Amino acid sequence: MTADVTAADTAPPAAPGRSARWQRAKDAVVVLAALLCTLVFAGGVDAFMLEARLDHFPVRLPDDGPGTTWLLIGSDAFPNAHQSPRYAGQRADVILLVHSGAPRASIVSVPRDLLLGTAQGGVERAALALDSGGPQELVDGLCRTLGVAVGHIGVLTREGFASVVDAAGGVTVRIPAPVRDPSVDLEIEATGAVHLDGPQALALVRSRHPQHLVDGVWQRLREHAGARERAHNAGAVFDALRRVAGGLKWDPVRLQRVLWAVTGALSVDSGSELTDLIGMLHGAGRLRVLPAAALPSTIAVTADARTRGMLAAVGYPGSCSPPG
Amino acid sequence: MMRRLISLATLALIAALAPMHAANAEPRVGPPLDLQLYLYEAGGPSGEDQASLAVYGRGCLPQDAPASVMVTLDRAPGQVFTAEPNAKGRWSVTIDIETPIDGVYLVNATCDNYFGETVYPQARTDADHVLIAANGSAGGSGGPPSSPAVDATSTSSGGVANTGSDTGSELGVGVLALALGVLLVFLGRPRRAVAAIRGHDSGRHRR
Repeated sequence: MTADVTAADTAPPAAPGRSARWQRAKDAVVVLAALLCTLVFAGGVDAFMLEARLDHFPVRLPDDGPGTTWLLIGSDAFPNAHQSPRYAGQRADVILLVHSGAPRASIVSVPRDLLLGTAQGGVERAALALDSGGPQELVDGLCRTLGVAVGHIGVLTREGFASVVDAAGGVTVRIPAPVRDPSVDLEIEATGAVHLDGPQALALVRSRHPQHLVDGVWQRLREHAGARERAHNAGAVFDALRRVAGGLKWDPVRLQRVLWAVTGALSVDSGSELTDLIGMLHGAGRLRVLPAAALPSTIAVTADARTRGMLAAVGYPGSCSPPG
Repeated sequence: MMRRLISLATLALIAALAPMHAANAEPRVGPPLDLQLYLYEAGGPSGEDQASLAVYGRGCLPQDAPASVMVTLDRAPGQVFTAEPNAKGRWSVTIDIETPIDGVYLVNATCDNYFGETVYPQARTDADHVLIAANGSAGGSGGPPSSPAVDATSTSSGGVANTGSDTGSELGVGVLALALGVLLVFLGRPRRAVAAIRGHDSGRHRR
């Protein structure tokens, strides 16, 4: 049998068939190469377009040492000038420190009412640092007060945040009790693992005076407890969003939709690129809310030994010199 | 030719003045702080002197949320002293300081209005400006006053509180731009139409 086949293969009439197979193989290789080239070209064009959509702003950053530290800021800036002058400018609603690489990955939610030292020797709330001196003031304040050196910054507006969550298909967050806050249109009756769309997730991270339904009674949290819950919710929503992004490797259509939304809504420092952003989204790490001490007569909180202890526990060295 | 030159000059002037608006995005600057150092002499061999620094400020008015003031002293690094202003925006903070009083004391303060902040100019005082009180002469306790009456102790003129950004420069720019615009329109009016009107008028007079 084998001998017959071998004989048939070596016989002269078989030559045209082999040639035809060879030709088909060549055609297939050419088609595959063309497809590959098209894909590479399309990918390149797509990456170029996504990169071009990212807004960049100049900022001086300190050396962030081992690993990569992102400072993510959720700004409350209105898309158009607000009628009331007191809403002008932008304040930081959400402040997240996302570290990946050595020594360990972590997500730290910084209370927006944390006092940061200024260059003049005074203090200001982190939320207002963004308004008074832009991202640079926040970077310098975190460096000066907490010894945290930031390597990349991303600033997201509130509308941009909602659009990113919607593009990801929503996020699933754990809600321990029904929560509402009329001042930001928040009303979530479900408990447990709750799926939220963009506006719901935005309302959750913006809520400063949440009320929880406990034993049939709506109970409002005190000022500092509300602020702490807000910081926790901001981190939880970001963590959920990052988990969704990590699962989109095999869903190119939705991944593209998310990246399109992110690049259209996010402003980053001039040294950051799309690849840095993707690296940050694919990282992992436990979420922590930075503890701080309450002060009398003010909503502001100040860093204490617990604050520095937690930062040291997640791997921040605690020393940083503001860039000159 | 002259009109073109004026147009270009106007555009250049407006372009040069435009960044002035962006410069106003910085935090508001509050009125000067008043500082007073107090030294309370113990008056006995076993007792210790006590000292305090009183900081008085104004112009911190609440908006939607209650306003608060954060004060820092260079001699007390890492510590933040807070105060709640009264309805008129006046406030005070008393900081216990170590004796002996020597050198310069630098004070920074910020009024936090929740949506924005007013930064007070850095204030300084030194050992040459100490108010010395013998034991028992200040309230009878021998210690520093815990909460001085703000209105009574403030020596400021009590001017209008700083409640908004300084719009004086913008108003000036606006008036200047309007004046230049009117000048430009006047100089750029169609001459032929004027000539025609003049000709028409003169013709009517001739009739």
